[in-house]
Amino acid sequence: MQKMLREWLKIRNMHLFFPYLIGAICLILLAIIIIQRALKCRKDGTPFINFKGYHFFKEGYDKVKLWGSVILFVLYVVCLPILHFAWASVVFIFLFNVLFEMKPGKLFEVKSVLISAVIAFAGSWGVWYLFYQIFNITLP
Amino acid sequence: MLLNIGLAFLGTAVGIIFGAIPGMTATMAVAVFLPMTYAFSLVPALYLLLGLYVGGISGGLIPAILINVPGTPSSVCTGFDGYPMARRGESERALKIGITASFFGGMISLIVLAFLTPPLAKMAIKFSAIEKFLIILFAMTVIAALSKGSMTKGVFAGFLGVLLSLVGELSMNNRMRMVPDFLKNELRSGFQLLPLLIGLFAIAQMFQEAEKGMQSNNLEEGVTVEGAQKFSFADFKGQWVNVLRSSLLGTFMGILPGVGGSAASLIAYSQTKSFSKHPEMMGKGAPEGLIASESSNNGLTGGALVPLLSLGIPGDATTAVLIGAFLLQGIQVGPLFIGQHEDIWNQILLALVVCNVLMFIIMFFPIKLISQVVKVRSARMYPVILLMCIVGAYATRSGVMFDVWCLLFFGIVGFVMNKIGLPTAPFLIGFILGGDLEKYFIEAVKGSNYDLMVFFQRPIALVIWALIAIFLGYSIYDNMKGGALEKMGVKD
Repeated sequence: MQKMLREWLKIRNMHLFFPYLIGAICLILLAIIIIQRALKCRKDGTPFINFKGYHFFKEGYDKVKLWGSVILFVLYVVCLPILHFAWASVVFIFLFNVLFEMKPGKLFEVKSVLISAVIAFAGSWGVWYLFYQIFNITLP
Repeated sequence: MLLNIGLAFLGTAVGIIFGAIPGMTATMAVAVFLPMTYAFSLVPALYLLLGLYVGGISGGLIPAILINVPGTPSSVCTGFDGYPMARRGESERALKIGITASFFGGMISLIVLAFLTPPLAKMAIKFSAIEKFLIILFAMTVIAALSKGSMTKGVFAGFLGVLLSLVGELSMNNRMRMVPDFLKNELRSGFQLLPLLIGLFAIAQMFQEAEKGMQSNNLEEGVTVEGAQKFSFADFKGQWVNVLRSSLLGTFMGILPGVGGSAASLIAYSQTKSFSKHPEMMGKGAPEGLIASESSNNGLTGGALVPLLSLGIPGDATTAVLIGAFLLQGIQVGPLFIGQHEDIWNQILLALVVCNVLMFIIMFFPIKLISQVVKVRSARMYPVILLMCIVGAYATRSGVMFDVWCLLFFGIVGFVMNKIGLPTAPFLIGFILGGDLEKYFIEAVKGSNYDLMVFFQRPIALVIWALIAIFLGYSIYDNMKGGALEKMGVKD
């Protein structure tokens, strides 16, 4: 053991020792989780893998809001270096507001859209002013 | 000082708002506001962040009492008795009892923090790399032992966090590991703490709320605070033992790494029930249940800072986020912290006093106004929170867009972890402690001529091994019972 450790912890190998060790521990723990689940399934008489009735997402989840927020997030990050922080934020914070306030069967309400626009404009420029102008923090 | 009090006021008020909106937590509040601390030195930053922490934990009682929805997991038991009180027209009294109990809980935990941390740190100064390694191992065992009755998943999440912390260059030999060629520049110093924790605790929560359609607190009707029976400090008559016991239980639960506020609240509540002269009244609007829940969850605030400031190990997810504030200022928390930064240590204690007093003033007197916070729509809050998250991630290394992508990545990771039942708090604590775990292991083994028996030779090391064995034994017993805490309904 001592010899093996000496070899592993030589300066040229040292960086690999802990990742291998922790990786091995993770694999062992994963195996234990799988075995525990198998034993529980056997005890309860349920199949180990059962896709019937399985839902990763909540039943009847809001697809538009969930996937919409992921897509908007990606587009927001892509647009940040192009439009710069304040203008990209005005556009995307407005879209996030509209998306999150959307009601089933009723896409837009004028009042709600107006509030979204005010929040987007005031929020984006407010945050820009606070962090960039007052706190001197680098923004995209 | 005026700036500090101003920031504490801002932090406490905003924290109360975060705590009062179901789905938003104290951890999220601290994570989102961390970027603001770039502009300040450590002391004002701590006033702000501790205000957010105290306010965030306390604000959860408002929706728990008024609409029976705990604003934060730590208020899980507050509604058991608070809501029935509100239903019989005593909402103002219930709110004021809760606020007062929160204040006492916070102050008692502060006293424990002040007296327990310095001797613990003094003891820890004598620790060599061996004991430091074992203490981290012990912290991870405790996390496992109390992970919702699912020990293996808790340990697995913790070690995954450790594995992730190893990504990047090892400073001892300047060699990279676990980094694809095309990300060599971005990941040279590994994943950054700030995008990881903001992603896990804010972005993941936003995705979760989006999945539910952002409907968590769309109250159509107004919230009324009634005062048919007025609050009086006489409501605490005969409850001082309850206050003290629940606050100390909350503080103790806070000291144990990885234990959430809901566990503290549930344990204090069940203890109060077993000591109560009228246990049949608990759950039907008994003030003692409300007092137990609220004094214990605020007791957690001081308790969770004990291991952080004495050993460098965060007591809960929020204090793990606080580590980010110290790191941003280049200050290492651990056994040497109090000795080297006595002024900051004193300021932390003062900040906690100020934040608890401010919390009481902000919530107690304008309670009718503050209660309207539960009507704030999370759908309107999340876009602005996202804005703050982007600023925080981007500013971590003064303008690296890769960190913003990491924010999204860890938001998705946090969302998936919640879905498959992997706890995020042990993952974050593992990530924070991973680097030190490796460093101390290598130092200890090299210093002992590569003999692993070195971990079993020193008396302190043996004591730590005994503690590890006790907690492992407890967690195996708890697991076999199916998770006592889980059965009680612990959710975080």
